[in-house]
Amino acid sequence: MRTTNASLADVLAQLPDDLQAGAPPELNLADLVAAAGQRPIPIGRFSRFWTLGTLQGKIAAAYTFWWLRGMWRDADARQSKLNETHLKAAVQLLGTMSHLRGAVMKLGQVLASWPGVAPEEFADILGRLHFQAPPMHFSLLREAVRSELGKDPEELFAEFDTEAFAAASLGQVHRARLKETGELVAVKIQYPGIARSIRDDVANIKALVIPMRLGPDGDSILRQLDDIESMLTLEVDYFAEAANLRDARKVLSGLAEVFVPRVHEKFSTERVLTMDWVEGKHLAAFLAGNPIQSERDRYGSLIIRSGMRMCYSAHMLYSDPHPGNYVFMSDGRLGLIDFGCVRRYSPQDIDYLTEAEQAADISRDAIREAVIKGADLSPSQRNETDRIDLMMEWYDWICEPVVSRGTFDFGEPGYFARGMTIWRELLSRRYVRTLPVNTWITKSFVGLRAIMCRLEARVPLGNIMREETSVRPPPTGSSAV
Amino acid sequence: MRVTAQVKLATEKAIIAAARRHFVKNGLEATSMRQIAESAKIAVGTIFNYFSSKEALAVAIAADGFAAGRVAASERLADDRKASLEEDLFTLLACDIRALAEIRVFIGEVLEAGLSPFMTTPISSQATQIRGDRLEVAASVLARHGLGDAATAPVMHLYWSLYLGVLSFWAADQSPKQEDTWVLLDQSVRMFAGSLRNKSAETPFTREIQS
Repeated sequence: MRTTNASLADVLAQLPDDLQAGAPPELNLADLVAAAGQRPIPIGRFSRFWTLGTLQGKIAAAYTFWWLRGMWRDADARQSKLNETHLKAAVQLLGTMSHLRGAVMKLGQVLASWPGVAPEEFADILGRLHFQAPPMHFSLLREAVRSELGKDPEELFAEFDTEAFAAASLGQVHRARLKETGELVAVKIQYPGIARSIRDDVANIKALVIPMRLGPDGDSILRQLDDIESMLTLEVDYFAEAANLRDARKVLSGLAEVFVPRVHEKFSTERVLTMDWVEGKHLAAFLAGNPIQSERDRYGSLIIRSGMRMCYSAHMLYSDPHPGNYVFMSDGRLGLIDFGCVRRYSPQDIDYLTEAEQAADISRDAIREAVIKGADLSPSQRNETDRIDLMMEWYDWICEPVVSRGTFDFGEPGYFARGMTIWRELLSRRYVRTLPVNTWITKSFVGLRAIMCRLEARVPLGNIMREETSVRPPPTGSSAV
Repeated sequence: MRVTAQVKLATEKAIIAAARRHFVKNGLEATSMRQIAESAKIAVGTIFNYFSSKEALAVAIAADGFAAGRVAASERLADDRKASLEEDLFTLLACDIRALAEIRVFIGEVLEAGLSPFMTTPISSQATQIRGDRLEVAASVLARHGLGDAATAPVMHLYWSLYLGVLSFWAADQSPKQEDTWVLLDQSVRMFAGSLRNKSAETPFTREIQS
């Protein structure tokens, strides 16, 4: 039997020895991920389940630590060594945590899904991180359902597929049929104990990160970690997801071509969520059918409009526009599923976003001010011209489809690549200081643009935005998608 | 007066029912044989005609649950669905946990007093039966998955330790809805099944035992 230490050595071996000066960080990351992907994974060993054992856990951990290490790249030798010591202590402690299907994996997913850290070449690997978590077998699932709903799935439903339809890091989705109405439903079940594990692990990670002295932007990073923590906490609470589903369904009811599944309360708890089954194809399968341009455009517009409707009318940001969350339904509608990652805007968020959005119509100085505010820059950082110029480039890239008066062609290959180049530049210079809400906005904006790019959709995004803001003006502000 | 078999059975049932109530309410240690006798409306000495000790009485109560767990597990294993070795092993323990849920409050004491691997002499024939049943069904599961040869005495002893470990953990599990028990069970059976699959004949552990 292998020891815990052997497994920790594996993890440490995944970390690059050094982020060599001059080498683009993404190349190191590429090596890292490639190495993790090629390493054979012994199955069933004790350490594999009690430490950073799974491939997913390793990759996520490697991303996380790689990201943290970059924070002190420019620090002096003594401080770097001190930080390394803290990092190794962190890895050691993480190695003793119970099941890393939890926090590190989720945290790694969040960090790794930041564009630039995860450029297109890693999209497949990250996709697997989302969907290839080892599934619960039916006997375990039966106990999880019974613990939550008081009865076995076979007793509760007329039919219940014993094989999962989709697996995720926190649980999995099964198809079932209701006894009362015969309707098909999707039952999402959480792995037992994962919610508590995430809370505990994130608290531990934060405790370890705090003494690392992450440089002048450390305070911002800690605020972002706090925000990530609160979002993860919401993500494991299916009551919160059910509330998101209900609100989204209500706010999108005016869009006949968009479908949001109903929540079946009787079969839903904090850890089990039962919704309408949404029949259709995901993006890859839809594209495999070689759809005509007008269909691509129509779906692209629906994706954008539904996101904006939620934003402007309910102050909900669909923060994880992952391809797996959209269903291209056989009757032509767009199905939206998975509302676990929805950020609700605070009044402060709305004020900031309104200002940022309006800046584009005022002046370059206004944009500059909005960018400085969004980056939460310290007084001395306000003089860093290079940083601010680069961030304005990013702002311009985000706004390009918005300011366009006509139809914007997301299939134009240069657009998405250009954005990723700017983003990589921001990251390589460690310009990570930002208001916490921007973590989710960036994730959402870039996710949407990536999907639009794959769809090769031509969408009048600016017009849709103007319609959505004028039809339903929000009570206290507005925000862009 | 001759005590008929019928009366004997009724007395035994009354003792078990009374003891069960007391054990569930107060645990094994805090319950005296006198209290049980009073509740069953018999003399204390009479209990010893049926059970050699309080612990043996507790095992007898638990035996019903274990028997129900065994039946449930057999039914589950008989269904057509092709389950993995891990799932089948999980099922064995999960069925017992369910069947013993009502007496969880004193199952830890039963395990310690009646089923511990440290015991050299069985506390009762029922304790022997419970252990034997568990090992037999576990061996049949291994055989069903082509690992019949792996069911050696030491491996089965390892299984028994795992079994008792999970049940002991469950007995004291303070997590919400005892969710940590399911995690422990899931990970434990994966570990056990994995160790068997990793060519049991070649592991140092098995070599040592076989030599």
